[in-house]
Amino acid sequence: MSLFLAVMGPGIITAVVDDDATGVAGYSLAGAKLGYELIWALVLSTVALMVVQEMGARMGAITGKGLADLIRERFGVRLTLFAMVTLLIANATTTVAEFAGVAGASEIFGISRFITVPLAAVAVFAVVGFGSYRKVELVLLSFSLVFVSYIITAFVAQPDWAAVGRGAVVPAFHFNLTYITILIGLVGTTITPWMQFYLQSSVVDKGIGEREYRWERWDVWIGSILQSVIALSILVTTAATLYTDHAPADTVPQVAEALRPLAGDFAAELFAIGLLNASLMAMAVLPLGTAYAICEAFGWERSVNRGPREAPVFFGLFAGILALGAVAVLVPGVPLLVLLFLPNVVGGILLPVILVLMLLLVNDRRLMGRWVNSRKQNAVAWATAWALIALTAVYVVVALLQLFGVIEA
Amino acid sequence: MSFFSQVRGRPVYDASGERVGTLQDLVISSDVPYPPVQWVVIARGRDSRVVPWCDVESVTPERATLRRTYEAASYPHTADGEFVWLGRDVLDRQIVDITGVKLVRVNDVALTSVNEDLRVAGVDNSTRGLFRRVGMERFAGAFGRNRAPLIDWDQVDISPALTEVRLKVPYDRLQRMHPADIATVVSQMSPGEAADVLEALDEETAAKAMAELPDEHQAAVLTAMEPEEAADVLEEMEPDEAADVLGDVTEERAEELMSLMEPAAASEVRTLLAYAEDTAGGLMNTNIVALPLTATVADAVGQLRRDEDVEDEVSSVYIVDDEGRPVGSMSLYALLVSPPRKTVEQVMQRDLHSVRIDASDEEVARTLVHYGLLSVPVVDEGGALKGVVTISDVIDLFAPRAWRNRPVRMRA
Repeated sequence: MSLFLAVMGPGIITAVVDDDATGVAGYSLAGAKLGYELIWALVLSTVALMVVQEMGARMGAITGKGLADLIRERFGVRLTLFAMVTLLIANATTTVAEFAGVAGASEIFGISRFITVPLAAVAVFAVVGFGSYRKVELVLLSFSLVFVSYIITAFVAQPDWAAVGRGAVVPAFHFNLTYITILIGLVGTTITPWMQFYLQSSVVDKGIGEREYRWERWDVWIGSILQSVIALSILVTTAATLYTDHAPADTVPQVAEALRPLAGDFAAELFAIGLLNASLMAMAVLPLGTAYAICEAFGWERSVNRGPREAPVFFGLFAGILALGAVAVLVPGVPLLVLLFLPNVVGGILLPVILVLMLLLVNDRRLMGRWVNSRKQNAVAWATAWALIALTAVYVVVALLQLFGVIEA
Repeated sequence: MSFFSQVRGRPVYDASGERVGTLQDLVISSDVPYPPVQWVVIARGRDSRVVPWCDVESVTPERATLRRTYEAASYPHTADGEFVWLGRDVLDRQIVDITGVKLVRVNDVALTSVNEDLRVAGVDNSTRGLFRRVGMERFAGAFGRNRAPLIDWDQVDISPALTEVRLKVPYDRLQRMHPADIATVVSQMSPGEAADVLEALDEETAAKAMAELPDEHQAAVLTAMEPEEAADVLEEMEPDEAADVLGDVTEERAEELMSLMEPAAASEVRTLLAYAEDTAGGLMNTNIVALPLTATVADAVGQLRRDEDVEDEVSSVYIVDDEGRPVGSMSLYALLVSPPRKTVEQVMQRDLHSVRIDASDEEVARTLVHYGLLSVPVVDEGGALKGVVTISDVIDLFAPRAWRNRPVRMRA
């Protein structure tokens, strides 16, 4: 048990950060727009998440190398370039969403986003770039206890538990754009490209090896389940309130208002704090992690200690992604909820690229020896990749049909 | 001069002019300076075979030509650890740049023809090399330096790239670097890779390099090492440094490692572990030379000569009374110039400053600076001599952060 406590961390931290602003938006919208219908997808995503995350942690423990590193060593420069562009797009849009989360939270408090967003950008740049990341991580993790409030709220909302159960086992599917968008978004926010890089690096940097691996697995599995319980709570809460009341859920304060009748006057504020914390937590991870992975893959200087002169690409990426996020949400009239949801779809479409590379790596005997995937693990992971590819294809087809008026929007 | 990426994948023709496949890889043996290519790996469909260099007419960026027919010249290859495949084992991997004291990513490998041989000249880690790999070298000029110098093959150690191929790799060149430089390089690796390196080095070098690693990295590397190897390295370290490292890993791991260490070394470390890291007790070294008042200068010198555990940073010996309390000291210089037959009591420096075992690191540092000492004795509650803190143990408190080894890795 104490061995477990020693290795615990990477899996649970990754999972908690996974409930970031895009997660809160994704699960809220799924509940608000479609009620309990998509719970089955959340259940399947959780299984996929457990399998995929375990694969990454295993690769980290057995090879002692990060994912970006392995991709470069196995697949050469061209494929690495492709993978890194994928990661950059996914992470940049997600960072924009985290800033949208900050803006949304400040709207609930009635503070102008023109104050909070630049403040958040500068704070993250200063603290994460030049302070101790580990201390920041601890503070944010302790704040994430706020998430427990989601679980309580879900019970207070008195959902129709029979409908919840039905939604969990009966897959519903509709060929319309809203449904498919929200479905891709749900899977895309649960399993994201950045998580694969982040988790594997965390395992590697902790020095976890073959010996500690069987404990690390539990860290990953417990984290995945924890993540999904929170996700389910968010979904159920909005389904029981916004969906049931046919209330509009098109802006962040509207979603927050859903909680007011449940948890009293401070419910919306509680939601705002949760959203703000989720956003900041992911902001502390994403821009820096992206810069690090890309520089690791291409062999460029990568260290916050080297300064912009010695590590221009590293600093350029780190500051550039942060600046992009801050500027994007300050564009007048930009719809925050769209920005919050967009990366889920982008991530869902791009995830198969990373998943396929991971699967090729994890099944490479030269690299993994006897630790290659079992048949069951391969089945689940390949199914996830193919399901996302299929969903993306359906999405494109439905979007085109809708565009040309063949089916109704 | 050509680059490996330019010849890889080119068509291969045999003596009859028939196209027999594509060039898949070049094989060298790693233990020769500027190693010549010994085998050419040729891919034909899903199959691949090797041709010895003596049967190869030429390898150019356009094509490779054999001197005989493919059937007569080629052999099946066996998975064998003696040879290095440039494409499989070196390209895209991280190796050590000895002069630059850093890890570099191999973007390309430079080849040069010398007489009949094709030899490896150096490593290209430039951004230009990256552009070449994606077939856009002519655009490279727009981004930064046009022609980055190659890293000479003589100035790299490719061992870190070979861990997948072999169980033990030599790290010949890395081994000859200064331990502080080894630590700089190793701190750019992941803990697992760093552990591989430290396990391969001789224990003394590994111990010195381990001591120079940043604190956060030490614990992770120690966790990643094989327990027996880690215990051997810890034994070689100064007890205070070993205690420092062990203080940062989990209790189980620390216990496991100490049980694998020699009992004497382990008990010393165990004593030190009991003190908080930022107190005199946590900083001090217990390998000291303490002499009775009746000892002669010759005795003192003799004891220094016999005691191989004494730290080379030690600058003084201490003279203690019957209760073990320090009453005087002699610098190594004083020992050298004093008549051998005199007793230490006659020649010792009586003006002695010591610190309590529970004194804070700052207080220790201040004592050293205030009295201009190189080392200060540490005493327990009863005033008995327990150890000594040298200025190098507290230098981290003074040195600007930027001077110290800071971890270069972080989570991606």
